[in-house]
Amino acid sequence: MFDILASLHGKAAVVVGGSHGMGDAIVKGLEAAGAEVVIVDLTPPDAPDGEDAPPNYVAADITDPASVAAAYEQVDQRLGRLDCVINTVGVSGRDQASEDMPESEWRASIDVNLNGTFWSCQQAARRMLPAGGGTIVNFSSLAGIMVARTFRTVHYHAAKAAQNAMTRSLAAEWGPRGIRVNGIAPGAFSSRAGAGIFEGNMDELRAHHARISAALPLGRIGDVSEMAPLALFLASDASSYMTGTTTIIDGGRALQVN
Amino acid sequence: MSISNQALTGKNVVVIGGGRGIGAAVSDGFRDAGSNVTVVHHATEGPDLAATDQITIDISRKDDVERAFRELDATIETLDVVVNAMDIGGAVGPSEQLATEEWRRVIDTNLSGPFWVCQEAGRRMIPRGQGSIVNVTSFGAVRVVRGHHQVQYNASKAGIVGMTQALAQEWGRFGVRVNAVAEGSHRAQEPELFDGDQARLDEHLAKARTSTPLDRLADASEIVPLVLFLGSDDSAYLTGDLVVADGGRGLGVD
Repeated sequence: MFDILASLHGKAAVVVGGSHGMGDAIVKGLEAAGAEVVIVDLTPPDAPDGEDAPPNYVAADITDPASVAAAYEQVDQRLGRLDCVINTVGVSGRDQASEDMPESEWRASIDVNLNGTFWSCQQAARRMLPAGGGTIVNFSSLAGIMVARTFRTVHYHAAKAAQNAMTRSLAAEWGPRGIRVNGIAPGAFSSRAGAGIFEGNMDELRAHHARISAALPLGRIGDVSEMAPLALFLASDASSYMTGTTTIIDGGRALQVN
Repeated sequence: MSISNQALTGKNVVVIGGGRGIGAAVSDGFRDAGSNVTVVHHATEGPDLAATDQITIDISRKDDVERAFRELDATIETLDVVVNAMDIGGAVGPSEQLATEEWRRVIDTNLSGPFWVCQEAGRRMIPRGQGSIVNVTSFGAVRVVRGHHQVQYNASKAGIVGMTQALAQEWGRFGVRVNAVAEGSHRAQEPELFDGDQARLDEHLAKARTSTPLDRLADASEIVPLVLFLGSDDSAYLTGDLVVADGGRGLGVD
């Protein structure tokens, strides 16, 4: 009964943002469960020097709907069917006073954090609806629900809250036609993506994590490997009566306030 | 990391209310995954229970919850997972006329009882620095079904969520996780819901189906993988969550 591995065996999956960090952990989890996976990402997974990108990688700029459409056409050729799509892209951007935020920064954040996920969901549904169903998992953020007050990233917060509403709307709309759509809202995790707010500086990220760890109920930052089981759970038949939800995975961070 | 039954093999699991309904399905699920399952039955579940070594509980009485856990201590050395899956439905009717005793009865059984279970579980898990508690609540915790007046039930179920969050915040530092699951209407709905009025029950379930995006009721066992997931270390970074499996029913407004 509780056999997630069996229910993902032989399934065809796309992981958008699957080249690195959390997305990579999910790709590995899906492959261990016997799914066939294509990675859609701006850059390929890290490969030894001189080696080509792996055959299961398709390049795409998710802020460009035409690029996303072309990527999914390549997915069609490689997989032939589509059962699961996991959208993992989220970029927090830099700390910026909202009253001074340039239009370009606002637009770029909405593009990558909201619009990109929508274009991917559209492409996924165009394949899943005629086929009778499928699952979509959209990575959001705690920032879509709460306010991470340490950093001023209003565009990121707005985009991820909007993405949560998008997840709910698509779930309600496509539910009768066999597609389940759920979201995940991660708290603080150890992936490199979290250093975006520090312009890629991992030392500053680690210092930030050390500061907030002690105050979290579970007393630590999450490891990306801990994300994969939840993503697989939501992608598989184990969650067969769940749709429209956004599950928080944050060590209890969102529960409390000082 | 992938999910497998390995995470639950050999774990000691106690299911309060594991004798019937969702609790029974959950008990089967943990057993299938290789866990050692102890079922705690409701005190009124059949006279046969008295003749066996089954553990019973009157969850509405704190002293009886303590007694039941003392009995569990005799056979379970390390408590890994406790599932609160025992509840009662409550009378359906106008709230301004709800009898005091009916309010107390449902709050005692559905909210206070699960809290006392959590206390007993926590007292055993905290010194060990690990454990997972899963509280089964219901759709009534998050939405009110129009025309279905059961305030005492809804309040008790929402109370489970507040309790879950408070205990998760408090016990996280001890390595004890506490989460809740809310299920929607399922086909094996308790027949006592409308005092045995099958026509009213059918109408209630038909409405549930119509308002659910997945366009069907749940199977009674569909919540089980979620409870197993939250009980196992596969959900090690989740605590204080309410995870809803309602087919999307709670999403919409008319």
